[in-house]
Amino acid sequence: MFKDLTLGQYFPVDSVVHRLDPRTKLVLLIMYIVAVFIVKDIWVFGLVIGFMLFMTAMSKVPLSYVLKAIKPMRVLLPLMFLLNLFMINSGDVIFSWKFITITTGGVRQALFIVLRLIALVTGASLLTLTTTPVSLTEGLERLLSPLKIIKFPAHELAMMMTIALRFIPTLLEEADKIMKAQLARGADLESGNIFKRAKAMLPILIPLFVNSFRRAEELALAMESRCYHGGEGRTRLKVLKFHMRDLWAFLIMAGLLAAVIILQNTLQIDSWMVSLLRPLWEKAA
Amino acid sequence: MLSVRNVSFSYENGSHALNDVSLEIERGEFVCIIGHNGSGKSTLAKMFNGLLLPTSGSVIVDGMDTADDEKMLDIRRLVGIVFQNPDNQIVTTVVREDVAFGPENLGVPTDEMIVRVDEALAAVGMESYAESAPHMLSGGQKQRIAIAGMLAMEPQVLILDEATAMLDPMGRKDILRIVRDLNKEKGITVVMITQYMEEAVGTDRMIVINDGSIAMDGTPEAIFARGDELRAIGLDVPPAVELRELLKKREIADCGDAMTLEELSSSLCRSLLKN
Amino acid sequence: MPIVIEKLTYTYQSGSVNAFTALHEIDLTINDGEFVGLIGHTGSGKSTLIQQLNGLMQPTSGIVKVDGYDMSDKKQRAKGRALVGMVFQYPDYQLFDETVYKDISFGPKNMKLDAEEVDRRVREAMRLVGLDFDEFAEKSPFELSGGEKRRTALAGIIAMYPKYLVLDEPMAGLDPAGRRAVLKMIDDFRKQLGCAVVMVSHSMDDIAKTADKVVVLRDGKIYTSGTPEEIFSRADELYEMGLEPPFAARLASELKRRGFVLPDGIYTNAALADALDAYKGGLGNV
Repeated sequence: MFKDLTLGQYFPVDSVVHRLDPRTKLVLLIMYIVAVFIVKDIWVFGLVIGFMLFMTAMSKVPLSYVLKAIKPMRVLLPLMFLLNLFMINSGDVIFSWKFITITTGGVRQALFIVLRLIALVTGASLLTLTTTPVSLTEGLERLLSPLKIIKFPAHELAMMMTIALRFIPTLLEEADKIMKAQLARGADLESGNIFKRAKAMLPILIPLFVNSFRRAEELALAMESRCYHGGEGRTRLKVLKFHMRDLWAFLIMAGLLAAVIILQNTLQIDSWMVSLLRPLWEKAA
Repeated sequence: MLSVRNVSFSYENGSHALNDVSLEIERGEFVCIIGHNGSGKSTLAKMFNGLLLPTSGSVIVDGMDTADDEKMLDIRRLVGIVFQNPDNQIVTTVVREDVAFGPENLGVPTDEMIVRVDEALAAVGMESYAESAPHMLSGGQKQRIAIAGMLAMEPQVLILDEATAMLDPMGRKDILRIVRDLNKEKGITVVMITQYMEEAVGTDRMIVINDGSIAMDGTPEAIFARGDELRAIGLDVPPAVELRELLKKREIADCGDAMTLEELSSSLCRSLLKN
Repeated sequence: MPIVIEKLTYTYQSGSVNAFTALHEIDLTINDGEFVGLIGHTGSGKSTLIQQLNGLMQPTSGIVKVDGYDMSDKKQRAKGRALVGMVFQYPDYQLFDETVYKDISFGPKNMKLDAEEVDRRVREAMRLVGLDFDEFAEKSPFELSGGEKRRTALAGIIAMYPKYLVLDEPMAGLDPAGRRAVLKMIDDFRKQLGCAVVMVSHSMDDIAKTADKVVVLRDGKIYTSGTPEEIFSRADELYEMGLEPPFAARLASELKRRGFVLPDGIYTNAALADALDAYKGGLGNV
């Protein structure tokens, strides 16, 4: 039943974004996050969003898929927006009624927080949509491997991730079988309060754990038999190679970062817009 | 090739698994080790590549003692082992990369590794699954991948530790055919541990283990002629042999040492068929 | 009252692009006390079918009724499920409690039986599967050997006194002696408890020894069903399908092809020996 389960949310199409080296994509994501955080001008943020839309278009992943990542935050986002809107008091007062005061600073901050969250989540989701968990793991291992000098277990970490990815579908399938075996013995998993239900899960969790430990033991034997002895002296079947497209991606990203920094320090559209719009709320008051 | 000398083994809880076992397996032999559950046959299998070390006695692989830590990688490269549970020996999420796992550990250069992986997958007939996810494969296919993973290390000995026990009849047949070919064409020494009597038919030599000791050692023909002794230790004979015994006991026909359907039907044609 | 299956179709992930129809308009009746052998190779729909028998899965269309209880209806399903005991292939999916005794009593306790009755049934079930009470009752199920685990798992179902006992590959992974013991055990329950048995097995030799009725599944459909004689006389056909018909049936068909005159419906070694004896005695020429 879980056989067709795809891990993560990889969207299998062939695109230039898919073909980027996973290391490039990871570094790009980090640079993108930096850009999202240093933007201080709400209009320059348009550039970041623009970049995001551009990458989505290049990746051939439908925008709706990328935006799906926001769905889990559908409660959090409006809440953050309202909190910031009402709590922050700086700049001009736009609206005031009893204890409620809305200021230009509040609007700015509220918009910012929501846009930042959306930008971050969609950016990360675009990475997982275009990169298989396997190549992500590989990319991480390579990127982190310089840290081996300070005894950071980059290889071990990657190995653990790989094994986890390999066994999650197997374990899900097993959990399903165990659940059925116990249901067939009349196990009641659905009624009663939370403690009762937690207790009712034991007949499923115990076999699952016992079997997992046995699996782990057998897997260790199998790995030893195949001469596994840690990361030392290991070669790889797949060698990651940088291509021209990776260079282009870096250049575009660097361009974006530069544009963000330069534009928001010279244009200051933000304060210009505020002064332009000021007569509106002054009239209202 | 494999030399087991006066090996005894007891587990930490004190139970004796092997009792003064001695045995020589020659290069290129196709040996079947048979015994009931708990007879010690799987313990013996894990001795061949040093996963378990004898409590007393020694196991020598191509002149190297498995107790010698320095030689461990050399021994494991030489002796590939495929285990019972197809799910618990595949390490990575893509078939190709899993087959490469052994060579990667051995530090084989990438160019050579690609050749080895492709050859290994071809040898087990799984080329078209190179990019598949292992959890989408059937049990028999997973075992073929496990064998390919061993072949990519270019071993001289292949141990199958009840590798067919969890497979359906088709998967079992596939695996048997593949190891037979590997033995015949590539000269790989095969040691097959099993509890299916039929699997012993067609091997060069059959070793019966009972209670941690070798009970019988000889050709399948010779051993299946001792059906009553096999049954006495919880084993059996293949159905063809069972019928052959019955026909002989009831003095209907004497079919010699026929062990397969083909042999039995030919023999019956010779002795009974009218015109 | 029997288990009645009518036009049962089951589709995994129905409606999605990955939709896969595992069962296709199955009609099948399992009568009281009957021993039904279910064969078919991996992916033929066997596992899906047996999970329909106790409502672990429900039909996409069609009807499964256990003694009249409609397994598509949530309330009726609970009553129907109580009649169907199900033993899965690997005991490791089932064993969980601290002791063998407690584990076997899990099912009976879920049936809300009183303590005395539970105790009586656990003892009875252990006796039936050949686990000595004094030796095993207080052992942890995780310390047992493979064969003992399987007996414990079986006992856990037997203790629920099912009217229908469904077994998925109960002999997989056991050695010949273990296989014989389990097969005999299953036949014993059937006689003592009067239950019907549905057994899924790859090994048709095992089914040939005990089944009243054999059902062959192929690609989610019933390919054929009938008595062992009827089914196994088509040994060559089954063999072509990748199944393993009983050895005697295949040999009989091979011998006939080579000119022997033998009766139809031979599928055990004993029957084949009889037939060859008769043939030798000259009856074959008649």
